[in-house]
Parts: sequence; C-alpha cells; structure tokens
Amino acid sequence: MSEVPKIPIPSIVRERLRAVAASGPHPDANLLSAFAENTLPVADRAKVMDHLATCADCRNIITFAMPQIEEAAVSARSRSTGFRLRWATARWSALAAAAAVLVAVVIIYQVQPVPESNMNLAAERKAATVPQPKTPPAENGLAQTTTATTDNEKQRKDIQREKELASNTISANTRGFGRQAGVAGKALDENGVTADLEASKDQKLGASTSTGAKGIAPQQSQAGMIAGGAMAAPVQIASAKEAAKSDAGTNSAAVANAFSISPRDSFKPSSLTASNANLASSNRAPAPSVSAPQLASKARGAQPQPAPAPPEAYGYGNSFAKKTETAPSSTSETVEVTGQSPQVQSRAYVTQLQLHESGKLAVPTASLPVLAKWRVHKGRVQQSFDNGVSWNDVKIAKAVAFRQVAAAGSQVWAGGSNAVLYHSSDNGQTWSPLWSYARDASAKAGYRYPKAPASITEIIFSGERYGQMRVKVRGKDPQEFFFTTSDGGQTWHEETID
Amino acid sequence: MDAAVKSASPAWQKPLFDGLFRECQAARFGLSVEDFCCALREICGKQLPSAASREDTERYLRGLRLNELALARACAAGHDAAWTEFLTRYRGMLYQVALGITRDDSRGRELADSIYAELYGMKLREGVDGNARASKLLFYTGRGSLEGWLRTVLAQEHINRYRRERRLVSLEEETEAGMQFVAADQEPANAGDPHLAAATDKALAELGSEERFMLAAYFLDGRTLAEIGRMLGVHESTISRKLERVVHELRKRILKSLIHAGMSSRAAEEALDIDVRDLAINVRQRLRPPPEEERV
Repeated sequence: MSEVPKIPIPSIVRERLRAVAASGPHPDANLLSAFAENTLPVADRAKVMDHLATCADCRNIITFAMPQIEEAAVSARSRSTGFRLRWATARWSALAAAAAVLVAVVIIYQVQPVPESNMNLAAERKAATVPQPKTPPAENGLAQTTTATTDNEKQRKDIQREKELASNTISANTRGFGRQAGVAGKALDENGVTADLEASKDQKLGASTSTGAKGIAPQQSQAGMIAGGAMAAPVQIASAKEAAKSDAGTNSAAVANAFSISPRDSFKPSSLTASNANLASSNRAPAPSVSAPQLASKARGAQPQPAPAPPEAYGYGNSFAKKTETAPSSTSETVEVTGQSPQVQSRAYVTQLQLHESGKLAVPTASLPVLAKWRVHKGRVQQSFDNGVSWNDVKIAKAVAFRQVAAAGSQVWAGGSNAVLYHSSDNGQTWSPLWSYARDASAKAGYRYPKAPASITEIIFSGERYGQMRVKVRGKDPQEFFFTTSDGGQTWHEETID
Repeated sequence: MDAAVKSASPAWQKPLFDGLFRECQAARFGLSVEDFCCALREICGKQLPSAASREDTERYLRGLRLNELALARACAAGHDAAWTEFLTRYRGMLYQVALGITRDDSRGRELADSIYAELYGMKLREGVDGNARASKLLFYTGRGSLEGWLRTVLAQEHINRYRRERRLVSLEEETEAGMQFVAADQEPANAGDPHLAAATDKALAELGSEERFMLAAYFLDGRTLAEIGRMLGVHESTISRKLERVVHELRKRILKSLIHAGMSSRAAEEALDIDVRDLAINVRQRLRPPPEEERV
C-alpha cells in the first residue's frame, strides 16, 4: 500500500480481521457488478457489503471489476461539464478571475475615440429615454446611437416594458454557471420554468456567484466573464429576418455588426460580412430587449436600477451567448434574454437604429411566454406564473420547513428541515422523496454520518443531472456535509473540502 | 417456460412485459417477445416474491437494464444482429479490461478470448429440447450494466485461472526461481492474551459492514485509499478520515472491554500496544557471550 495510516492498527486487530470467516454465499456477478456501480438497493448493498467485509476473493473481484482509474478519469471528463468543485482550486480561480475582471474593467472603461460616422448615432441614442448606463461609452461600444425624434418615444416605452418583463425572468441558477444559465435558458425555452433562489446574499463576484458557492464561482462562468470583455459571440436575434427583409443592406449590416463588434470597435454599418449576413437572416423568433443594467442588477439580487451598466454584464452575457446559439427556435425567447446583457443592449441599440432607419419598430411586442418562478417563503415552496406578482404554495410534504428549491427545466428539487430531498419531474405537479439523509447516509455509515437531526441547507443544480447539496447535522456534534450528484439526484457522493 | 407456469401468471403480467419489450426495443436485436417475456418471468421468479403486486413488479423491472438484458438474451440465443451490436459495443472494452486486469497483452487477449467462447456458448448442455447453447450471457439479469457484469466475469475468470496455475506450478520451477521452502508456521509460544482476542472480536463485530470492509481492504488486501474510495463512491480523503476514525474507535472499544474484564487501563493499553509477536528480539545475539574486552 502506498499510504500509511496515521494511526497504525494493532496486530491483534489485523489477525482477528483475517480470522473472520466469510459470511454467506458468494454474490453472483450480477450483484457484484451492481455493487461496483452503486446501483443496488440499500438492503441488498448492505448484504453484499457484509460479505465483502469477510471475503477476500470477492473483494479482489470487485477491485478488478472497477473501471480503471484512467478509464474512470476519461469517462468523468467526458461526462463532466466542469461542475465538480475543487474548493481550493475554485477559490484561487475565483481570485484570479476577479483580478482578470478588474483588469478587463479598467481596459473597457478607457475612453475610446469615436469615429465621425458614429457621432450622429451616438447623439441619437443618448437622447433616447431608454435608461442608459452611467458608464463611459466605450464600455459597451454601442451607446452611441439613439433616436432623437419624438417618434421614438412610443417605441422606447415598448422596449422599456419588454426589458422590465424580461429582466424578471432571470434565474438565480444562472448566476455563476455559464452552462447553468444556458440550460436554464433552454429550460425556459422548453418549459418556461425558472428557479429563482431567494436572497443570493453573497454576490461578491456580481453576476457570477450562486447561493451555494459563497463567493466562489465555477471556473466556467469566470472564463465566460473573462471572455466577455472581448464580446465576440454572435447571437441570433429576433428581428434579424425582418431587418433583412425591410432594408437588407443597412439593417442587416446594423443587426449583424451590432453583435460582432467588440466594445472597443467602432460601429461600421457598411462592414457586412458573409457570416453576419447569415446571422442577420436568421429565422429566430424575436427576443425582447432587456437592458444590461437590469439583467446584471437582477442577477445581483438588487432592485432593477435603470442607470448603471455594471462591467460584469459583458462577461456575464457572453458565457451564455454561445449556449443559446444552439437553442431551438421556439416562441420562447427568454433563452436569449437570460444573461445576455451585451447582446441585449445591442438589441436595444439595434432597435433604435432600425427605428431610425425605417421609422418603425421592428421588434415585435408580442407578449412574453408565461414563465414559472420558484422560491421558498417562510418554509413553504412557492411557484409563480406571473413573474412573481403572485405566488402559490406547492404542497410537497407535511411538517417540513423547506429551505431550498432548485429547478432545471421541468425538474425541480426541494429540501429542508427533515433532510429529505424531494423531486418533481413535471414542474412541481407531483413530488416524491428522492434522497434522505437518515436513510441513505446515516443508515449506511452511521459512524460517518451521525444519526441526528439534519437539514438540507443548500441545493444547486446546473442542469438536470449535475447538482450539489449541503446537509447540516445538528445535535451534540454538529457537522456539515457536502454532496454532489451527476444523475439528477438519484445518488449522491460526499465531497470533502480539503 | 412451462405451460403450467405460464398459465399461473397474473393477467397484468403479459401486457406489462409486452410494453417493456416495446420500450426497450428488444426486437431490433432479433429477440422475440416470447423469449423476452420468458426472461422477465425467470428473473421475477428469482428476485421477487410470488405474490408481488403489479406495481412492485413494474418498479423492479424498470430498475433493470432492459435494453442490455434483451441484448444479452438475444446473443445467448445466437441472433446475428445481437452479436453485431454486442461486438460493436463491447469488443474493445473486453480487451481493454482484460489487459488492465492481467497487465500483460498476451495474457489479456487469452483471457478475453476465453470469455468470448463462454459468452457465445461454445459448450452445449443437455436441455429439455435437446442440446442447447450454454451461453454465460443467460446469467445476466440486468441489475447492473452489461459492461460492469462483463468486467466482473472477466475478473472472476482471471482469479480462477490464477488459482489453477498456482496449483500447477512445479516444485522444480519454484526452486529454480529461488523460492525457499519454509516450514509451516508453528503455534506461537505465546498466543496472546485471550481476553485481548475476545475484546477485539467483540469490537470488530460492533462495527458496521462498511467499516469492516474498509479495514479489510486497506489493512489486509493492501488497497490504496483511492481504490477503496472508488469502490465506495467517496473521495479518498474521506476514506482516510473514516479509517482513522474507525481505528481510533476500535481501539477505544477494545480498551473499554479489557478494562471491563478487570484489567487496569495501563495494562489494557500495554496489552493492546505490545504484542509479543511484534517484538523483534534477536535471541542469538542476546545469547552470544560478550566480547573479551568487556569481560571482567
């Protein structure tokens, strides 16, 4: 063995261990393979474990039957979306990412000279009543156009209304996980369900923190934030097709270029590339405009503020942009809205530009699809279909004070005072207990997981499969355990924070 | 399956099995619905009580890997489409696993080829309908993945081969290899305190099966923490902490038992920590006369 235990075992213990006779018949290959894959029911697993504790041959078989470390690592890498947290690495990554964000902010906030061709457009945009961020123009690179005519008042109000509606659909789950936001967006697309975890109090990294990772953001979102400074991801926009039809040359160029330039680049309506033309002719349904300020501030849990465009908004958006590229075309455009602050701001700009060009609003004002939001309020899980205006209690279990709820698509998880994780696969219509601390942890390994009152204090899912959960055990020896899952919560593995 | 057994099946069983047959797309392996239902009845007969309800039966069956079960049964029946699918999915994996187990290319290929023969059913066995294929795939019940089952079968075959080869190694070969033949272990002069053995047995019996498994795997088999962690599905640092805690707890319980048996705490600690078999006393050196300069 390569590791030497810190506490050596007395020889008498080793001898008596060896002397214990194998209990019961040898399990067959089906049982052993199911044991190795951790798919046996608790009772069967206990029986097999009992035999394995006394039978060296079966232990050897299990060891040989386990996937090799290299294979396991490869399969884990291929399955994993980077969600497994390594706390120490995540901490350093968060610090490095925060430093990179600061550097990016400094660079972005540098005043860039605006070319003459943009001067008029910049003045027009500034004159618009659409809330503009109190940031230097170079931050978004697009705060240069507006409409100066009174004809735009109505369109601006429509846009503002759309922004306000769409800004409230941001899922708390998207705060910090690029993939999560993408999936949440997809979930919105498919089922119109978002999970709005309450009171993400720790927003040290702005939009990139979650209720679970206190000040620690997954590397993926940080990478997205870092990449956001460049803002190169194109976005399928709603009115691109109409724009292409109405005034193909100028509008398409405007639409396309709005999404392909970096914040530091000047706007050049005439620089239309082939790829941008394709982008402009996309048949995607329109997405409502949402301002970056509102998106980012909502992500921070604050009240929507009309003024500022936080620097994080750029990076926050771009990490999701690529995900939404593959989102299916559908009537739900919240996929594109969620977290896409720079593109959305571009949309507002493009809208103004189109208005300026064609004199009419190209972005349709159709009502947004109804989205479901989730929250825990006074120990009860609640659901809202009117964007948080009214909430309905969801009956899950009696005498349980719920503390956390998470959703991804139609999958919803909730847990609370009894340390039982409840799950619904149909948007909360029916629920079933999925995992229990007492049954699945304490009963299996009581020395490790003490039999004491426990509660689930944190549930986070980045998608339908990958999630994490924190369980706090009360009593004389309070402890906290951190579990992760890669199968939607069917099985949980403890992760140590070393 | 006997006609009598078929006739005793509940009425809900056939529609349930037919539905599962369609869901797992067993037909594309060439498996008939009758063979599939027969397999399910056989599994239910072994694993479920005879009076199991429809819900319990359906819940159990839906927990199985029905698609892989259908593939295994179709292969056992000799359907070409099934074997094409099986080889596509598992041929490379089997060789990789065999290589990983044997750590030798030729032995690994030999192991994998021998398994293929058993899976294909090269041996014939007498059956009701005459000689039938004796494919090992008939023993797969779908509780775990087919890949995991194949790994386990390979591991079992490897261990069996190893045992057979050990028995067949000649004494001359061992002598040439330099092995020294030692006498059988004699009974130690001091077998240790009987109270200590009893206290240790009692403390070990009070441990859970997982704890005893970890102790055996680590201290007897010499498995690494990472290997044990993978077996139990936890991180190796968790195993390290658990082992320390278990050993510490074990020690406490043994001492408590010894003290309860009448030993003083100091004596109990000494009995536990000092095992005469662990003492490395060089008797020859101690019996050798001292050098002349030290003599008076």
